[in-house]
Amino acid sequence: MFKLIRNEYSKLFTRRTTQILLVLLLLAAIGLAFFFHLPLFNDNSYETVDISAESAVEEAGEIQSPEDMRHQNTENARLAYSDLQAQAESGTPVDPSQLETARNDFLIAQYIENHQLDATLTFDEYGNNVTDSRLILTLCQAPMLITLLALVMIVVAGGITANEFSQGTVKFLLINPVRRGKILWSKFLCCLSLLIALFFLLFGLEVVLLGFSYGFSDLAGQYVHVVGGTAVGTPILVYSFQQFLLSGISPLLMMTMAFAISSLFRSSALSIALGLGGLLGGSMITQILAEMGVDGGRYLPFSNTDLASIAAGTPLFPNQTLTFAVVVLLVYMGLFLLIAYDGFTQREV
Amino acid sequence: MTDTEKKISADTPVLSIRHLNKTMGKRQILKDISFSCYPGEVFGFLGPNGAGKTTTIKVVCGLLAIDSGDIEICGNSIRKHYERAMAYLGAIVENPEHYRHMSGWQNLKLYQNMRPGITDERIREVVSLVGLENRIQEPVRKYSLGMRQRLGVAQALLHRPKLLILDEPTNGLDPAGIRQLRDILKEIAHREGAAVLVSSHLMSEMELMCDRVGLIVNGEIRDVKPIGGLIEEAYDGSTAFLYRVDQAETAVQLLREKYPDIAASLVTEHEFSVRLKPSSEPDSAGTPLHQELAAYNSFLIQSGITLYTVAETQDHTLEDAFIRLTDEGGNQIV
Repeated sequence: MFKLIRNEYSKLFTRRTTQILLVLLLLAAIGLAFFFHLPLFNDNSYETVDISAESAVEEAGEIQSPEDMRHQNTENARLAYSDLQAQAESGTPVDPSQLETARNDFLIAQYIENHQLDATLTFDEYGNNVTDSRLILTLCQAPMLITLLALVMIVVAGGITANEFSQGTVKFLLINPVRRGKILWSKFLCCLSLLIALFFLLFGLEVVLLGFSYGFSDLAGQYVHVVGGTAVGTPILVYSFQQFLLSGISPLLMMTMAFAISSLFRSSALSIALGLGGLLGGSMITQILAEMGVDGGRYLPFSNTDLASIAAGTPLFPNQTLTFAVVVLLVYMGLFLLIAYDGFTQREV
Repeated sequence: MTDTEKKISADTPVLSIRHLNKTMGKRQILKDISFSCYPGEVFGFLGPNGAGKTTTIKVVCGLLAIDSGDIEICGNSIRKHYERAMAYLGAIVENPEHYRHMSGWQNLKLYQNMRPGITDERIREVVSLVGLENRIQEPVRKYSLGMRQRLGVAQALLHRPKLLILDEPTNGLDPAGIRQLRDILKEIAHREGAAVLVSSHLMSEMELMCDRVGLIVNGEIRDVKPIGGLIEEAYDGSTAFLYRVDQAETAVQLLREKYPDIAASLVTEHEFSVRLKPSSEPDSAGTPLHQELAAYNSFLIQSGITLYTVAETQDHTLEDAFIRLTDEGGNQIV
């Protein structure tokens, strides 16, 4: 089995298409790491750091130490929160979510001050990330690389079986004393292991490149958020790896779909087209279905790939739970693999 | 190996096909195919286009499913013991296709990984056997058809198969390559004791290469015979003689009047041919053919025909036999 997978790798890596795609992927990773060094971003407008604090510094005309700034932030947040509280007590109607946001802001600011954190990541009420570190800001964009990785993997998986047919080499592959099922498995495991390897490679590479780009100190930063009334800090590396991992589900699913189509219809063009269509258009379809209130939409594979928001309790469809999403994903994966297996082993060559 | 040992091993077929049926869509492509190939023989698989040669080969190689019947390679049914059966098989099916972006050597390394017990030494040996040493490190896309065919043969020989199946192996080979291949096949069959199954349209090639021939027409096995036997059968053992005379038409008329059974036919103004079958009656004075010919000759001369030459014609090639046997109702055509 190991030798069969090695064969698939050597067929894959001697191909010009694969080489070019991998080089482009690496270039994208490098490009992303040094993106904010472009002259385009010489102004500081990209920063979503609390402007009021900065303007306060300017008004005061004195240079504040980071400690003072953090304290200032906490006091501001506390003030805003107590204002709203007083308003609510005096009988003026206050939006409860506004009140909660104000409280969370305060808790987060307090946490940052207590722990004297330099680089942090938080989210404002609209889900936009708030950070004073370019490194963290870029790291939050790393899942973009996953989309590119998905593209590469769809091309690989879409061609791995179909190319054997279009080249006519499938006959010479199948006259060996190896069962067809094994050959197909070796092809799938080749794709899967490549996906995983590239996944870790990209993340590791991005972290290292960002370190070189902005200095490694910011990597010690934390993601601060409020869970059940207390502020919690998660190391930024752990958090961003989680995000990276979760965004990998869609590529895995679409790669498997392309693999199944490749083996069923023996056409790399068709499987790549449908795989990319699913990757890029799938979320659009689910969005539309969700807005139209079509509950059946939750059974689509694309509707369940965003495990992060489902776990956070904000699914697109009201009846989606994490268990439901995982089961749907597993069923689709199994179905795709079954289609691929059946298409490959039963077909006459 | 002594003669008795040879006989024993030669009795067990390397490939045995029994009552094989295959339907594709509504058309039955193979009808009750049964034949065997034995160690040490080169078996020619003949048939016109679309007769089912390649289909049979594909079924044997496990590329197509069996509808009914069974195929055994060295006693292993390809239905029940697929991997074991395939380990004995080396084959080229249709065109020799390789990974064009890889070198010949890299291609062979792939096969090394899929079959047990192949050393790098063996790969080098096979490469030099097919005469590709100088070009083996080049990518296959730079190979000519003949070179790809050679690489295909190398691939098929790599694991010393007991059964070697080659579908149209002389396609694209130059005359030297064809002779080389012929020698390789004979060597493998006669020295290493493998069975070689070759399909081809090139009858002259088959004649030089094969020990036995199986004829397939319209999905049915018409005949399995030693190569000489097939030719004999096609002509019922008869021989044609070409007469050159001054007046062919008159001569044929005269002969037909005198000998009503004679199979004489006019060829040109000055030529006609007579087809003779050796009679079974033994005769002390020469062969019966000679008796009859002598009788015809003296009759013609007595009748005033000027007889220039009489010559045995050389149309007894496998090619003619093939056309006679595969042509529907062909036995009547002269």
